Amino acid sequence: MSSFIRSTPMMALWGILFFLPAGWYAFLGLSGGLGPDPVEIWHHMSGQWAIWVLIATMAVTPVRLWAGISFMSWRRHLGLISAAYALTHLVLWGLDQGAFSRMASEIIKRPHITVGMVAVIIYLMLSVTSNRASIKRLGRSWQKVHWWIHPLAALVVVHHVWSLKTIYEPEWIIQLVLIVGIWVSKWMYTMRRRVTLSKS
Amino acid sequence: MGKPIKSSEITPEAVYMSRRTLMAGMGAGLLAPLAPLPALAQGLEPNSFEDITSYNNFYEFGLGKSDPQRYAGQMTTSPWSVVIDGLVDNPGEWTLERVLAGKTIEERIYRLRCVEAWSMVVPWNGFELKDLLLEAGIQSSARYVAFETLYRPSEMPGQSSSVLEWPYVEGLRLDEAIHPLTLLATGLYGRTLPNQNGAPLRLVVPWKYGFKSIKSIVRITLTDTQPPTAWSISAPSEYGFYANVNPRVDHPRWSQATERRIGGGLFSSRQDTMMFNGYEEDVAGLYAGMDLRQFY
Repeated sequence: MSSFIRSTPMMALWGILFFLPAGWYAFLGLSGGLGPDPVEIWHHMSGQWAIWVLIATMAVTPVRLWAGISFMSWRRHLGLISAAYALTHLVLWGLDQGAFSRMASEIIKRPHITVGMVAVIIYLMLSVTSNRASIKRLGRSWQKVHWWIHPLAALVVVHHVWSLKTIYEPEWIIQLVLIVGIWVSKWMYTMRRRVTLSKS
Repeated sequence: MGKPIKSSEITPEAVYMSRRTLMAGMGAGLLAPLAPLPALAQGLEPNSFEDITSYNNFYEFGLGKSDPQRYAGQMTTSPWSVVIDGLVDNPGEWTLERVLAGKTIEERIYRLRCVEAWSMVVPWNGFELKDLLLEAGIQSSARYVAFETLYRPSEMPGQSSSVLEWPYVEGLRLDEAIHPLTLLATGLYGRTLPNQNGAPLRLVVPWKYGFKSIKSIVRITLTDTQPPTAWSISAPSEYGFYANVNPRVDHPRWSQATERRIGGGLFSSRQDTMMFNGYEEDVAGLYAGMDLRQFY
């Protein structure tokens, strides 16, 4: 299992998690398979994929701690794939708005779009510091920088829920439960380790 | 009628569909043909029957835009009757046959502007609501008209969700209800109204956001007090009783200044929203002296 995970080429990860789904939806939309308003569905789906892959990225550590399976070699690219979906989401929105002036006024006027833009800035910050050179250069503070994935997860869920016409959609509740579950599991592990350390 | 769409400006459905087929075919391979044809960009052509019947909101059947088409088939629309009551001379349970008796069904090509900032053009068939109300006998104390949609959870799966209070209710001021633009639709494109579009009888008020145009009506009540409406019960700060299309009054969470014309090309379909959805000349007088920011 672990050798399989470690030997997975990153292009395969990108292919399965980004290029195949994105290409499939692009094809469906352009061939009429998504109904008369594909842009709305593309916009929604790119945002959803960003959140799901972000949750997968965050789950790497708890899965390693509790199940002993390490997807660490995937983590950087999972994060980058989530960022790629977020960027796609932003570009689709921008193309639909059609003008920078309109985008700017919407970012200022609509709180959920402001939140989305803050999330994009965090995504960029994490993406550009995700390479090996940055890990070396930042040393101990790299962990602090990348701790921001947690507020980022909260922001993307808030951004989504705030944009909904009604809150009676199940996706965001599942996502919130998973995100809080990841936080709680990390906290529990830390507490347990502290107890163990203090005993020894 | 303000900026009417002349029937001479309408492309026959067959021609329209052939253009769409052409566009879709080219769009799969090239980017250039994604720009709309000039006539499409003007927003004067009705959407295809396929667009109108596969993309709409009817929360009784689910929240997705394709849910109505998928699930509305199970709704029984025959026999159908409408309770007409309240401040009328001839109250009672009217069969659909009685409702339609003596009415001239005409075609009305109206813009439809959803509060979610997308729009279509729909060739409705129907008659003026006024004709039915006069037949029912409007009493002099009547000021408002309340409407109610069918409540039948066994055939309307969305009604088991608490997304809105059921049954769906809507209302108009009496002068809005008897306005000649206000239609009771029984069909579109010359065909019987499909279930997903509100069969067998739905309201069409083209200068208001789409949610005012209540579907599958089972009750019409004339009252002297302003009736509650489903969306303003659910979110009073976001949806008001009037819900007139107004590019200058935004929804609290999104802009109403522009709209995406469904079927108008991928990223080139955004157009300016018109005051009262383009029917300003006809209906602005109804709201003279009213602050439309307060009465949204």
